[in-house]
Amino acid sequence: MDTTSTLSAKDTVGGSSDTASTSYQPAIELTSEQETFIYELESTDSGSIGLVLRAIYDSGDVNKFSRALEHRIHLYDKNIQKTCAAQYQDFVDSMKELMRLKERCKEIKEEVIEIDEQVQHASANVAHRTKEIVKYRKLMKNATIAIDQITTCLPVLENYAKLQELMEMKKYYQALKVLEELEHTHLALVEKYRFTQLLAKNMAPVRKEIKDKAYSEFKDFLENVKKVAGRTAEQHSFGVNEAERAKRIQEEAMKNAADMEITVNEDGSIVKKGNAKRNRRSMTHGFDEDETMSAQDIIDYTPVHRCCQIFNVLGAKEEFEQYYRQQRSEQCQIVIEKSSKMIQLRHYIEYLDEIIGFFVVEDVIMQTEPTLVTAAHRDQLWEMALKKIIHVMETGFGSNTSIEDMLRMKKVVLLFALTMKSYGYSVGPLYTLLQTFRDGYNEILMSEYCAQFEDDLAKDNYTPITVENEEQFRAVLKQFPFYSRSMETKPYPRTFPFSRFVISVYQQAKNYLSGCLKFMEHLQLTHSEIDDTVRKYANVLLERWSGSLKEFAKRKRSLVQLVQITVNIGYLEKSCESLGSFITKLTSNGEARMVHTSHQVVLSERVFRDARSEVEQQIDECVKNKVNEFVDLAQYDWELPAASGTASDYITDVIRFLETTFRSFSHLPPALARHVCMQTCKHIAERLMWMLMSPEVKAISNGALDQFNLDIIQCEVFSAKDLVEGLDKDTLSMAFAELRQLLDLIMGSDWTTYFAEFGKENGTYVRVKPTTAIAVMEKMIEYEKKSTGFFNPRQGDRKKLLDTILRQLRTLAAK
Amino acid sequence: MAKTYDYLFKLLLIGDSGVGKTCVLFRFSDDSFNNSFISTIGIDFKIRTIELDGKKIKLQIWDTAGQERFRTITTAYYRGAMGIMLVYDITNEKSFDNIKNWIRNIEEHASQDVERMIIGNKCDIEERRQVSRERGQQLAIEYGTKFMETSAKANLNVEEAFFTLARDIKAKFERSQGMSGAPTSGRVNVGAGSGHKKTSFFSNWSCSLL
Ligand SMILES: Nc1nc2c(ncn2[C@@H]2O[C@H](COP(=O)(O)OP(=O)(O)OP(=O)(O)O)[C@@H](O)[C@H]2O)c(=O)[nH]1
Ligand SMILES: [Mg+2]
Repeated sequence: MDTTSTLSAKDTVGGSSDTASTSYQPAIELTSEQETFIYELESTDSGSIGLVLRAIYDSGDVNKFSRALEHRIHLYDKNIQKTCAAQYQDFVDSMKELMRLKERCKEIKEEVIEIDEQVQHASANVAHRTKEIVKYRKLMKNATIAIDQITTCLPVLENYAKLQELMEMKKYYQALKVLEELEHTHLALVEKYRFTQLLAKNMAPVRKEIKDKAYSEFKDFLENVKKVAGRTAEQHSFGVNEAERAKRIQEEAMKNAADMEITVNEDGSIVKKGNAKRNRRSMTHGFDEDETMSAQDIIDYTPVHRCCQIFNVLGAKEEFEQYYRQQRSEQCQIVIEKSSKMIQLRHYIEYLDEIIGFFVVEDVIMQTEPTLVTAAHRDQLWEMALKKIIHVMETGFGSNTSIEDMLRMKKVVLLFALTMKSYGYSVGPLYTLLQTFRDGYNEILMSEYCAQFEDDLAKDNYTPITVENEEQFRAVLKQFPFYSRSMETKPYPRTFPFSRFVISVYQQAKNYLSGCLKFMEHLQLTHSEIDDTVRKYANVLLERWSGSLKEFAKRKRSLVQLVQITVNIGYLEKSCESLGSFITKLTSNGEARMVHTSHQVVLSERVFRDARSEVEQQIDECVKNKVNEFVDLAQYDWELPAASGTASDYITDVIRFLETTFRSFSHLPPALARHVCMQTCKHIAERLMWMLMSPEVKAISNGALDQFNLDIIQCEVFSAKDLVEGLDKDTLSMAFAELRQLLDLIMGSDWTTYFAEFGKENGTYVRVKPTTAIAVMEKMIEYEKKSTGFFNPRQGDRKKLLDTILRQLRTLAAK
Repeated sequence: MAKTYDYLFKLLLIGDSGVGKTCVLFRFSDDSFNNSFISTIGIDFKIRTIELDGKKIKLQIWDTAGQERFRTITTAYYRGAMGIMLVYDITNEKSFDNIKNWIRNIEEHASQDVERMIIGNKCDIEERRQVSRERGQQLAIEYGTKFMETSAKANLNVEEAFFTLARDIKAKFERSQGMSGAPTSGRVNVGAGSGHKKTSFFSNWSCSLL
């Protein structure tokens, strides 16, 4: 249908258009204005049409224009008809052509559909395969991812298993290392899994277990250390016997703890590097293998190091350090505590041994774990220990300790000090302790020697030493410094003046001084210090001995003892000088050195002065007592009508006794003998005078006075004898002068002379006191009264005379 | 003056050095004993008052040194002694043998009628005995003296020995007084002024009493 309409329109339009344009111009006459308007309308766009229209209307000639316009349209219609007619054939040809094209297109379409169907069929399989490929590709990718994940998980499990195993094997440090690795390297990568989260949660308890185990292992170590500490110390300081100890003193002094070279192995054990040194030592002391053992050999320090490492890893280093210090300080406290059973020296050695052990261990740990045991911590412990040790030692070693124990103790403390010093501990206070010990020691030593002295004094035979031959003679001289030219020439047996007590005491003094010196050995004192100290002690000893002698003499000793003691004292005094040179020899260690005596404390021989005077006084007393015993036997009959003609028995006895005594005690020093003799005579005179004056004697007969006079004569004879060497006989007889003058006066009735010479210095009766004369006169008168009767007229004059004499005497007495 | 005793007897101890004279005397006078040997020098004495039959008797006992060097000094004391104890040590043969010499000494220097007694001391140390009791008795019989074994250490027979000697002296003294028929005045002037050798002690006494 489209084709028909198109064909009709085409026919019309085509035919007229060509002719319209050509026919227009010549048909109608148009003004220019209209021409413009039409042109405007044809060329302008629809929007401006209004403006053009307005302009047309404004010109006013619309009809005209409408005809013009109609004309123009007619023109164009004609043109269109012309054109359509011109183009119609072409149009038909085109249509025919198009119809043919339509046919071709249909064919091509069918063909295409067929091909399409064929392609569709052919590609179906490929599409299916492709799908499959896509699926497997995905699967493969997933598998790879899974494998990767599992690969990262595997070490976790492996390590965990290893961890378990190590834990079981108690290799905590390795376990901890595994644990750390597990946690930080492996687990971190696979956090998202539940099992790994579970494992991660499990790590904390394991860690805690490791920590606990480490603590417990460390505790075991502490326990172990405590047990073997004593042994460690034994190896380090005190040997079993004295000789070994002495050797150790030297050795330890030289030894330096710094020699020790120690390294820690990976597994925490310690290796000693100082092999060279060890070999050297074992070469010198090859006989004692044990000796070369060191603290490391006895104690396994692995736990400490392991703990250190474990706690290091755990990041709890400080916690462990604190724990360690706390534990060790508690242990230290226990070690330094004095046990109640500490009685014998052995206990003290054990005590100190343990302390050494403790600090040696501490030192070793400090060397290897300097952060665990710092010098400050170590020194703090030591300081605390030192205080306690000194206290323990001071209180433990009182005065009841024996000398041997003191000496051993000193050695032990000295060794202890040296040992500790060699480990770098400060030991100053220990030397002070030793000084205190020295004083205590000397006190004990002194009291021991004083006891010995007293014992010797009590047991001495108080007999001068007698030697039978040259050998014995020399033996004595060897023991005691004595020289006597006269003795050298005498035949045997020879007798020394002193008793064996002197020798024994001199030996003791020497032993005592050696003993003093023994304690001062190794105390780091100078020669002169030692010398001075020894001298001081010597003087103190002599002083004490002197005191002992004095006390001894006071206790009622026999004359034999007292006399020998004075003699002995004399020789002891003389021996002081030798003792002095003995000290010099002793303290100079046998070296011949120039000694400046002026700087030395000199041994004082005057030290015995007090004792000597006491003994001398006792000798006086002793003799006086003997005299008294005789005098007590005297039984005068004061009313004896006539004297017997001989001296009284007691007086001859006392005189004979004195003579015997003075002759027997030929070794009494002359000055003393003179003194004693003088005192004795005075004493006899006193006793006799006292008898005469005794108020118990009321009356005295002439006969009795005669008898008394006879006795006095005996005494005078005695005093005139050459008994004691160098004694002035006149002085001695002066002892009886008063009695003599009194008797002469009364028996001779020489009153006139007495009164005449009274008060004169050289009067015949200058020693007779009026009171004495009165007393005797009264007794004489009393007797006379009794025997002759007072009222006898022949006696009148005599009575008067006697009265006058008495009155005169009383006047003198009153002056 | 108040009378402090009735009789004064002088006794003498003689014997070798070391036999224990001083110890015996110390035991008797002080009731003490000393183990150490302090040899007597010259002479010493002790006085002890005893009572016999109601009489106060003072015993002045002279202890002589046994050492040879004091012999002359000590023999001077024989004369005045009224009783002499000859002491030997039963553990020392020689001291026993020497008793003979001591007796000879007495006979030479002491009064004729001096009372004598032989003492064997240290009888406490039986294990070291060298002189049997029988030999001691035998010797005493030979010399017509009394005999006793004593121990100063163990305090055996010491008292008895001195008392026996004192009693014998007292009996002899009282006998001699009885013979002379004089009453006892109580004052004894022993040996006063007797210048003769070997005179009777007791006759001498009686003389002085009369
Ligand atoms: N066992 C024992 N020993 C005694 C006894 N009597 C004395 N002695 C010891 O014998 C030693 C000598 O004793 P003295 O009494 O001094 O001897 P002495 O006879 O006086 O000696 P001289 O004075 O030298 O004559 C001393 O050591 C006494 O201890 C005794 O009865 N038994
Ligand atoms: Mg004697």
